[in-house]
Amino acid sequence: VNGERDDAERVRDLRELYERLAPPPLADELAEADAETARVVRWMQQAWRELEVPRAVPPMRRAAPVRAGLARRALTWLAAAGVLAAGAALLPRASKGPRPEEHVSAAPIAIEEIRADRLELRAGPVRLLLLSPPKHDPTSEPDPTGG
Amino acid sequence: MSSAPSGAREPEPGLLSAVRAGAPEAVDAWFRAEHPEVYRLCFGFLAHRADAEDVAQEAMVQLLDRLGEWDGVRSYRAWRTTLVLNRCRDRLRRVERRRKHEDSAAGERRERVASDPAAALERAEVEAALLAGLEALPPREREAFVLRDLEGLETSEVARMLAIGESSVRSLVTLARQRLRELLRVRLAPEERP
Repeated sequence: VNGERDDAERVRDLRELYERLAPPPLADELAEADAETARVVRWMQQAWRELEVPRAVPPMRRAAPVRAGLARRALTWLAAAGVLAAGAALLPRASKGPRPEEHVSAAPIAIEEIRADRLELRAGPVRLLLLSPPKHDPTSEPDPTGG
Repeated sequence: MSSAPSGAREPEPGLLSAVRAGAPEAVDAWFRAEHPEVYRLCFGFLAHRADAEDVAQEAMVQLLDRLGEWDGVRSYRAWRTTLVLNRCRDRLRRVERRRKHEDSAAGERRERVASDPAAALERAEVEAALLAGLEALPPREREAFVLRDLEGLETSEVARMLAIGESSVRSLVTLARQRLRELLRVRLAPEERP
Protein backbone atom coordinates (compact mmCIF):
# COMPACT_ATOMS: atom_id res chain seq x y z
CA VAL A 1 0.00 0.00 0.00
CA ASN A 2 2.82 2.38 0.89
CA GLY A 3 4.54 1.69 -2.43
CA GLU A 4 1.39 2.52 -4.41
CA ARG A 5 0.99 5.77 -2.47
CA ASP A 6 4.59 6.74 -3.20
CA ASP A 7 4.05 6.10 -6.90
CA ALA A 8 0.92 8.23 -6.94
CA GLU A 9 2.75 11.07 -5.19
CA ARG A 10 5.63 10.86 -7.65
CA VAL A 11 3.22 11.02 -10.59
CA ARG A 12 1.44 14.01 -9.06
CA ASP A 13 4.73 15.78 -8.47
CA LEU A 14 5.82 15.11 -12.01
CA ARG A 15 2.54 16.40 -13.35
CA GLU A 16 2.86 19.59 -11.30
CA LEU A 17 6.39 20.08 -12.57
CA TYR A 18 5.27 19.52 -16.14
CA GLU A 19 2.46 22.03 -15.80
CA ARG A 20 4.90 24.63 -14.50
CA LEU A 21 7.07 24.26 -17.58
CA ALA A 22 6.70 26.94 -20.24
CA PRO A 23 6.06 25.58 -23.73
CA PRO A 24 8.99 25.91 -26.12
CA PRO A 25 8.86 29.12 -28.15
CA LEU A 26 7.43 28.83 -31.62
CA ALA A 27 10.12 28.80 -34.24
CA ASP A 28 9.72 31.97 -36.23
CA GLU A 29 12.95 31.88 -38.19
CA LEU A 30 13.67 28.74 -40.10
CA ALA A 31 17.07 28.55 -38.43
CA GLU A 32 15.28 27.92 -35.15
CA ALA A 33 13.51 24.86 -36.50
CA ASP A 34 14.99 21.37 -36.22
CA ALA A 35 17.27 20.12 -38.97
CA GLU A 36 14.74 17.81 -40.58
CA THR A 37 12.05 20.50 -40.77
CA ALA A 38 14.54 23.04 -42.09
CA ARG A 39 15.65 20.62 -44.81
CA VAL A 40 12.10 20.00 -45.98
CA VAL A 41 11.22 23.70 -45.95
CA ARG A 42 14.39 24.61 -47.86
CA TRP A 43 13.51 22.01 -50.44
CA MET A 44 10.07 23.57 -50.76
CA GLN A 45 11.62 27.02 -51.15
CA GLN A 46 13.92 25.89 -53.92
CA ALA A 47 11.14 24.04 -55.73
CA TRP A 48 9.02 27.16 -55.37
CA ARG A 49 11.67 29.39 -56.92
CA GLU A 50 12.20 26.97 -59.80
CA LEU A 51 8.52 26.47 -60.46
CA GLU A 52 7.82 26.56 -64.18
CA VAL A 53 5.67 29.56 -64.91
CA PRO A 54 3.28 29.20 -67.84
CA ARG A 55 3.50 31.74 -70.60
CA ALA A 56 0.99 34.52 -70.41
CA VAL A 57 0.17 37.40 -72.68
CA PRO A 58 0.14 40.94 -71.35
CA PRO A 59 -3.37 42.33 -71.50
CA MET A 60 -2.61 44.90 -74.20
CA ARG A 61 -6.32 45.54 -74.64
CA ARG A 62 -6.17 47.22 -71.28
CA ALA A 63 -2.70 48.62 -71.67
CA ALA A 64 -3.93 52.17 -71.38
CA PRO A 65 -7.01 51.97 -69.21
CA VAL A 66 -7.68 55.69 -69.11
CA ARG A 67 -6.99 56.36 -72.80
CA ALA A 68 -8.79 53.23 -73.88
CA GLY A 69 -11.82 54.27 -71.87
CA LEU A 70 -11.81 57.71 -73.40
CA ALA A 71 -11.37 56.29 -76.88
CA ARG A 72 -14.24 53.88 -76.35
CA ARG A 73 -16.49 56.67 -75.13
CA ALA A 74 -15.47 58.90 -78.04
CA LEU A 75 -16.22 56.14 -80.54
CA THR A 76 -19.60 55.54 -78.96
CA TRP A 77 -20.47 59.25 -79.17
CA LEU A 78 -19.25 59.39 -82.77
CA ALA A 79 -21.36 56.41 -83.76
CA ALA A 80 -24.39 57.89 -82.00
CA ALA A 81 -23.88 61.22 -83.80
CA GLY A 82 -23.63 59.40 -87.14
CA VAL A 83 -26.86 57.55 -86.51
CA LEU A 84 -28.60 60.79 -85.52
CA ALA A 85 -27.33 62.61 -88.61
CA ALA A 86 -28.42 59.81 -90.91
CA GLY A 87 -31.80 59.68 -89.22
CA ALA A 88 -32.27 63.42 -89.56
CA ALA A 89 -31.43 63.26 -93.25
CA LEU A 90 -33.83 60.39 -93.92
CA LEU A 91 -36.72 61.70 -91.84
CA PRO A 92 -38.16 64.25 -94.41
CA ARG A 93 -38.03 61.69 -97.18
CA ALA A 94 -39.71 59.10 -95.06
CA SER A 95 -42.50 61.50 -94.07
CA LYS A 96 -43.20 62.73 -97.63
CA GLY A 97 -42.85 59.45 -99.41
CA PRO A 98 -41.32 59.00 -102.84
CA ARG A 99 -42.31 61.46 -105.57
CA PRO A 100 -43.21 60.12 -109.03
CA GLU A 101 -40.64 62.28 -110.80
CA GLU A 102 -37.97 60.92 -108.58
CA HIS A 103 -38.66 57.49 -109.97
CA VAL A 104 -38.22 58.83 -113.49
CA SER A 105 -35.09 60.70 -112.67
CA ALA A 106 -33.79 57.82 -110.65
CA ALA A 107 -33.97 55.47 -113.63
CA PRO A 108 -33.45 57.52 -116.82
CA ILE A 109 -34.58 55.85 -120.02
CA ALA A 110 -32.61 56.51 -123.15
CA ILE A 111 -33.95 55.94 -126.64
CA GLU A 112 -31.45 53.89 -128.50
CA GLU A 113 -33.10 53.35 -131.87
CA ILE A 114 -36.40 54.05 -133.61
CA ARG A 115 -37.46 52.26 -136.72
CA ALA A 116 -40.82 51.34 -138.25
CA ASP A 117 -40.70 47.91 -136.79
CA ARG A 118 -38.50 48.44 -133.84
CA LEU A 119 -38.14 50.67 -130.83
CA GLU A 120 -35.16 50.14 -128.63
CA LEU A 121 -34.98 51.68 -125.19
CA ARG A 122 -32.40 51.45 -122.49
CA ALA A 123 -32.99 51.88 -118.76
CA GLY A 124 -29.90 51.13 -116.75
CA PRO A 125 -28.68 47.66 -117.48
CA VAL A 126 -32.00 46.66 -119.09
CA ARG A 127 -32.44 46.99 -122.84
CA LEU A 128 -35.98 46.89 -124.13
CA LEU A 129 -36.86 46.04 -127.73
CA LEU A 130 -40.33 46.60 -129.04
CA LEU A 131 -40.79 44.88 -132.34
CA SER A 132 -43.72 45.12 -134.71
CA PRO A 133 -44.15 43.04 -137.88
CA PRO A 134 -43.56 44.98 -141.12
CA LYS A 135 -46.73 46.07 -142.96
CA HIS A 136 -47.47 43.91 -146.01
CA ASP A 137 -47.40 46.01 -149.27
CA PRO A 138 -47.91 43.89 -152.44
CA THR A 139 -46.78 46.69 -154.76
CA SER A 140 -43.46 46.81 -153.14
CA GLU A 141 -42.83 43.16 -153.65
CA PRO A 142 -40.06 42.50 -156.17
CA ASP A 143 -41.01 40.95 -159.45
CA PRO A 144 -40.06 37.31 -159.32
CA THR A 145 -39.51 37.36 -163.02
CA GLY A 146 -36.99 40.18 -162.54
CA GLY A 147 -38.91 42.52 -164.88
CA MET B 1 14.55 38.97 -40.95
CA SER B 2 12.86 36.91 -43.62
CA SER B 3 13.44 33.20 -43.56
CA ALA B 4 13.42 32.86 -47.34
CA PRO B 5 13.84 36.02 -49.32
CA SER B 6 12.07 35.26 -52.56
CA GLY B 7 14.16 37.78 -54.46
CA ALA B 8 11.13 39.94 -55.07
CA ARG B 9 11.72 43.64 -54.69
CA GLU B 10 9.54 46.66 -54.94
CA PRO B 11 9.26 47.74 -58.57
CA GLU B 12 10.73 51.10 -59.49
CA PRO B 13 8.32 53.94 -58.80
CA GLY B 14 8.96 55.29 -62.29
CA LEU B 15 7.82 52.03 -63.82
CA LEU B 16 4.62 52.00 -61.80
CA SER B 17 3.88 55.61 -62.77
CA ALA B 18 4.37 54.75 -66.44
CA VAL B 19 2.10 51.72 -66.08
CA ARG B 20 -0.52 53.90 -64.45
CA ALA B 21 -0.24 56.32 -67.37
CA GLY B 22 -0.81 53.40 -69.72
CA ALA B 23 2.54 53.38 -71.55
CA PRO B 24 2.50 50.08 -73.51
CA GLU B 25 6.23 49.36 -73.01
CA ALA B 26 5.93 49.92 -69.28
CA VAL B 27 2.88 47.69 -69.07
CA ASP B 28 4.77 45.01 -70.94
CA ALA B 29 7.82 45.24 -68.66
CA TRP B 30 5.66 45.30 -65.55
CA PHE B 31 3.70 42.27 -66.72
CA ARG B 32 6.81 40.24 -67.45
CA ALA B 33 8.23 41.00 -64.03
CA GLU B 34 5.04 40.53 -62.06
CA HIS B 35 3.33 37.59 -63.68
CA PRO B 36 5.74 34.87 -62.49
CA GLU B 37 5.45 36.08 -58.90
CA VAL B 38 1.70 36.35 -59.06
CA TYR B 39 1.51 32.89 -60.59
CA ARG B 40 3.67 31.40 -57.83
CA LEU B 41 1.49 33.02 -55.19
CA CYS B 42 -1.64 31.63 -56.83
CA PHE B 43 -0.01 28.21 -57.11
CA GLY B 44 0.84 28.33 -53.43
CA PHE B 45 -2.53 29.56 -52.21
CA LEU B 46 -4.60 27.33 -54.48
CA ALA B 47 -2.34 24.26 -54.70
CA HIS B 48 -3.74 23.67 -58.17
CA ARG B 49 -1.91 24.45 -61.38
CA ALA B 50 -4.79 25.09 -63.76
CA ASP B 51 -6.62 27.28 -61.27
CA ALA B 52 -3.39 29.12 -60.52
CA GLU B 53 -2.96 29.85 -64.22
CA ASP B 54 -6.48 31.23 -64.54
CA VAL B 55 -6.45 33.27 -61.38
CA ALA B 56 -2.98 34.66 -62.10
CA GLN B 57 -4.16 35.99 -65.44
CA GLU B 58 -7.30 37.46 -63.89
CA ALA B 59 -5.31 38.95 -61.06
CA MET B 60 -2.88 40.60 -63.47
CA VAL B 61 -5.75 42.29 -65.28
CA GLN B 62 -7.28 43.36 -61.99
CA LEU B 63 -3.96 44.69 -60.72
CA LEU B 64 -3.58 46.72 -63.87
CA ASP B 65 -7.09 48.10 -63.59
CA ARG B 66 -6.72 48.97 -59.92
CA LEU B 67 -3.18 50.22 -59.91
CA GLY B 68 -4.60 53.73 -59.67
CA GLU B 69 -6.07 52.83 -56.29
CA TRP B 70 -2.69 51.99 -54.80
CA ASP B 71 -1.83 54.92 -52.55
CA GLY B 72 1.93 54.61 -52.87
CA VAL B 73 2.29 54.80 -49.08
CA ARG B 74 1.82 51.13 -48.41
CA SER B 75 4.32 48.70 -49.87
CA TYR B 76 3.34 47.85 -53.43
CA ARG B 77 4.26 44.23 -52.85
CA ALA B 78 2.00 44.00 -49.81
CA TRP B 79 -0.85 45.65 -51.74
CA ARG B 80 -0.38 43.31 -54.68
CA THR B 81 -0.10 40.19 -52.51
CA THR B 82 -3.26 41.07 -50.60
CA LEU B 83 -5.18 41.50 -53.84
CA VAL B 84 -3.90 38.16 -55.15
CA LEU B 85 -4.70 36.47 -51.84
CA ASN B 86 -8.29 37.74 -51.91
CA ARG B 87 -8.68 36.63 -55.50
CA CYS B 88 -7.43 33.15 -54.61
CA ARG B 89 -9.75 32.94 -51.61
CA ASP B 90 -12.68 33.79 -53.87
CA ARG B 91 -11.67 31.05 -56.26
CA LEU B 92 -11.22 28.53 -53.45
CA ARG B 93 -14.68 29.27 -52.13
CA ARG B 94 -16.20 28.76 -55.58
CA VAL B 95 -14.46 25.52 -56.44
CA GLU B 96 -14.14 23.88 -53.07
CA ARG B 97 -17.34 21.88 -53.27
CA ARG B 98 -17.29 21.35 -57.00
CA ARG B 99 -13.78 19.98 -57.11
CA LYS B 100 -14.60 17.07 -54.84
CA HIS B 101 -16.94 15.73 -57.48
CA GLU B 102 -14.90 16.47 -60.52
CA ASP B 103 -12.05 14.76 -62.15
CA SER B 104 -9.47 17.48 -61.92
CA ALA B 105 -7.12 15.48 -64.10
CA ALA B 106 -8.51 17.15 -67.20
CA GLY B 107 -7.22 20.49 -66.00
CA GLU B 108 -3.85 19.01 -65.28
CA ARG B 109 -3.34 17.65 -68.77
CA ARG B 110 -2.15 20.85 -70.34
CA GLU B 111 0.68 19.67 -72.40
CA ARG B 112 3.81 21.66 -72.83
CA VAL B 113 6.52 21.36 -75.38
CA ALA B 114 9.57 20.07 -73.58
CA SER B 115 12.95 20.40 -75.19
CA ASP B 116 14.46 17.98 -72.68
CA PRO B 117 12.08 15.19 -71.66
CA ALA B 118 14.27 14.05 -68.75
CA ALA B 119 14.45 17.54 -67.35
CA ALA B 120 10.74 18.00 -67.94
CA LEU B 121 10.06 14.77 -66.06
CA GLU B 122 12.23 15.88 -63.18
CA ARG B 123 10.49 19.25 -63.10
CA ALA B 124 7.14 17.52 -63.13
CA GLU B 125 8.16 15.33 -60.20
CA VAL B 126 9.39 18.31 -58.22
CA GLU B 127 6.22 20.19 -58.98
CA ALA B 128 4.12 17.19 -58.00
CA ALA B 129 5.92 16.95 -54.65
CA LEU B 130 5.54 20.68 -54.07
CA LEU B 131 1.88 20.44 -54.94
CA ALA B 132 1.38 17.44 -52.66
CA GLY B 133 2.92 19.34 -49.78
CA LEU B 134 0.80 22.42 -50.33
CA GLU B 135 -2.37 20.41 -50.83
CA ALA B 136 -1.84 18.67 -47.52
CA LEU B 137 -2.06 21.95 -45.63
CA PRO B 138 -5.34 23.47 -44.47
CA PRO B 139 -5.98 26.80 -46.23
CA ARG B 140 -4.98 29.08 -43.34
CA GLU B 141 -1.76 27.19 -42.70
CA ARG B 142 -1.02 27.21 -46.40
CA GLU B 143 -1.51 30.96 -46.64
CA ALA B 144 0.74 31.61 -43.69
CA PHE B 145 3.39 29.19 -44.92
CA VAL B 146 3.40 30.59 -48.47
CA LEU B 147 3.66 34.17 -47.28
CA ARG B 148 6.17 33.58 -44.50
CA ASP B 149 8.40 30.79 -45.75
CA LEU B 150 8.03 30.88 -49.51
CA GLU B 151 7.41 34.56 -50.18
CA GLY B 152 9.73 35.47 -47.33
CA LEU B 153 7.57 38.18 -45.78
CA GLU B 154 8.05 39.29 -42.22
CA THR B 155 5.77 37.78 -39.59
CA SER B 156 4.28 41.23 -38.93
CA GLU B 157 3.47 41.68 -42.63
CA VAL B 158 1.86 38.26 -42.81
CA ALA B 159 -0.18 39.06 -39.72
CA ARG B 160 -1.44 42.27 -41.33
CA MET B 161 -2.33 40.53 -44.57
CA LEU B 162 -4.17 37.69 -42.90
CA ALA B 163 -5.70 40.01 -40.29
CA ILE B 164 -4.52 37.83 -37.39
CA GLY B 165 -2.00 38.21 -34.57
CA GLU B 166 1.69 37.56 -34.98
CA SER B 167 1.55 34.66 -32.53
CA SER B 168 -1.17 33.09 -34.65
CA VAL B 169 1.07 33.42 -37.68
CA ARG B 170 3.87 31.66 -35.81
CA SER B 171 1.51 28.88 -34.76
CA LEU B 172 0.21 28.39 -38.28
CA VAL B 173 3.69 28.39 -39.79
CA THR B 174 4.99 25.96 -37.18
CA LEU B 175 2.09 23.58 -37.75
CA ALA B 176 2.55 23.80 -41.50
CA ARG B 177 6.26 23.05 -41.22
CA GLN B 178 5.60 20.04 -39.03
CA ARG B 179 2.98 18.71 -41.37
CA LEU B 180 5.28 19.15 -44.35
CA ARG B 181 8.12 17.48 -42.56
CA GLU B 182 5.99 14.44 -41.82
CA LEU B 183 4.72 14.31 -45.37
CA LEU B 184 7.87 14.98 -47.33
CA ARG B 185 10.76 13.64 -45.30
CA VAL B 186 10.00 10.11 -46.47
CA ARG B 187 9.44 11.25 -50.02
CA LEU B 188 12.65 13.25 -50.23
CA ALA B 189 15.75 11.16 -50.15
CA PRO B 190 18.63 12.89 -48.30
CA GLU B 191 20.55 13.47 -51.53
CA GLU B 192 17.49 14.50 -53.52
CA ARG B 193 17.34 18.14 -54.47
CA PRO B 194 14.85 19.97 -56.68
